[in-house]
Amino acid sequence: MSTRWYPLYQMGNPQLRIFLPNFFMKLVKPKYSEPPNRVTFEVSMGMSRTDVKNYLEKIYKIPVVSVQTRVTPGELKTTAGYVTKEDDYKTAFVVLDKSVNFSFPDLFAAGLKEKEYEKEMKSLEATKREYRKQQERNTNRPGLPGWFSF
Amino acid sequence: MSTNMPHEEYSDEPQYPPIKDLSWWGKKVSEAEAQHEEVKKLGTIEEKILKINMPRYYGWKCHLFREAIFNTNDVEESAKQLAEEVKADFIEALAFEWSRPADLEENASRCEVEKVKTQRILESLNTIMMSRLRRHVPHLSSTVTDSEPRLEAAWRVGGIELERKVRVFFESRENLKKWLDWPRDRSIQYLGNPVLHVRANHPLQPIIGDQESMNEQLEVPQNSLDPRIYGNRDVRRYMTNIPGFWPGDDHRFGILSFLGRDYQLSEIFDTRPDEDRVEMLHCQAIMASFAWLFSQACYLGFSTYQDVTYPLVSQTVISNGQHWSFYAYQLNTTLLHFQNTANNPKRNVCWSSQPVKLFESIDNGHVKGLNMDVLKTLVKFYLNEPKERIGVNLTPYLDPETPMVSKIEEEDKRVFLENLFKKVSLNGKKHEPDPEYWNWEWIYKIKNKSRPQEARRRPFELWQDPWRLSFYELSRKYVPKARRKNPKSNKEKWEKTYYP
Repeated sequence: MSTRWYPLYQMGNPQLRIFLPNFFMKLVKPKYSEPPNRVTFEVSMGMSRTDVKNYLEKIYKIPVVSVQTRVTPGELKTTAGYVTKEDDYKTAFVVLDKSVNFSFPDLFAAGLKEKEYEKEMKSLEATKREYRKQQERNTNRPGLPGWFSF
Repeated sequence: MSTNMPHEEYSDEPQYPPIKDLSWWGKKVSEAEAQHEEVKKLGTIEEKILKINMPRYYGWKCHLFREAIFNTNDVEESAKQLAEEVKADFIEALAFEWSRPADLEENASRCEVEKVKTQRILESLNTIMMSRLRRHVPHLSSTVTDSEPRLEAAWRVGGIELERKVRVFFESRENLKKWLDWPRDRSIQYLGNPVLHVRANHPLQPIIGDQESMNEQLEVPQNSLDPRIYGNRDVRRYMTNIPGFWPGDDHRFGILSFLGRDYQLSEIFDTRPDEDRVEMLHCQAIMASFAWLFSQACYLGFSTYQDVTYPLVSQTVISNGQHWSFYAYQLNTTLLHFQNTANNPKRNVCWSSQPVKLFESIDNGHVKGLNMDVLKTLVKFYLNEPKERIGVNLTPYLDPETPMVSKIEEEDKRVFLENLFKKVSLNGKKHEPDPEYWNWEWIYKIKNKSRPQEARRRPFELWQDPWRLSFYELSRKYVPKARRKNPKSNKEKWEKTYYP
């Protein structure tokens, strides 16, 4: 279901238009350890408990026992000297049947995360080395701007 | 100077003081043990219950659990006979109460109607049982029945996983990392809603012995998840233990408790299988039985830190008049704090039955399809005789001369402690206002440190937690000069306090 206004028909290109629903459910890793029959989703703000239940039951054929939703206020941050607030979001806690044993999928294969990290650290080290080299080149030439040697 | 040394200072074998564990966790444990010892030393029931609440003026953060928001052949024979004898009156009362309207407003939910009807049915059935059986069972004459008693129990449980904030803090400190998985205490508060309680002045006989209660085959399922995951609320309140009566009552041992099952008509159960309903009944019975026996144990001088020295037994019936389930519970231990949750060799045991129907239907005052086995089981519960435990000190941790506050001779102390106990049991509004901060402070001072130029005067800027205010820190009451014995005395300027 969509609560969006359908865009008015416009002559000409593009001929093909895609209308996406504004209801979404994002499976998230829970902050606390949970019983195996409970699943946490981040859902769009417009969705009610009934919507979440119908979404899972009608589309994915998952029998739902109960749904609880909570609106979490967005985080407050200081960016460029100003205090700003991120958007609020809605979390849905879905209780499935007692027999269901759900575990959050392992998104990273074993060792992949460490490899990525090592790769990033290597390039960071290289950048640092280059910067140091440039600094050393100008030690005996005080007062010169940084771009002079290029 | 004398060179004569007293000989008692020396012994053949060197005697050393016990070795103390000086690690972070070891210190915590010894601190806790010292506190437990202080509770043990106190002589009266009220002081023991108050002592746990003294460190927090605003109350402890508790996980709140509400009720249901989750022998021999001789007895067999006599139960059969008595059941036949009681049958006629029992059926008459049942049929009358069953067909009586609930007298509620039209828009009352079916749960509310069921609750009112259950209360009436069980009360009238209990009256019938008591009056008819009294002739044959003398111990029923010395029992007391409470209607809708106040049942509250609070205890400490270890082994629940750490809160996220605390876990993050412990993970960030190298020296604290290794204590991450050690059990911490959480406070649990149970608020019951029983229909009836029957009490006696002697305890029921234990069902199993001490050795059997340590049987490892009696498995206790462990759950380390935070209760909030299951939707239990967190409340800040005093931890109260009230088994339906106040300290000083002679009838301090429970025999029989009746619970309602109106929640089974709520909408969430409409689509659930019967297994879930039965499991819910078991949960209700286990929690209610433990809470009742635990609060009774507290009134006998035991606590969440001092284990019971003898087992306590209670019987529980859950019913709405038609569906009946029977339970028996034996409290072997009250220790659940720290490592005790997993390591305590003693186990509390609950015997359960499946819910059974007493009758099929009632038409025009005629009960159809009566199941006599159910009535017989109910009679058996009444026949279970409480007996005096000879040679057992029932209150080993209470002062024999002043087991309760009302026996204290010193008037000031007695009045002070009685008032304090009432205040704590009431759990009402506090005299001191709740600490709070403005929303703008949360945005600009706590979440974002955007006002560094201002003087730091608020508690959250001074690393203070105002919620941790203890009773000992409260300012004392001023005594006017006219009321002092010696008006010039500075010692009498402030009223004396007797916090345990």
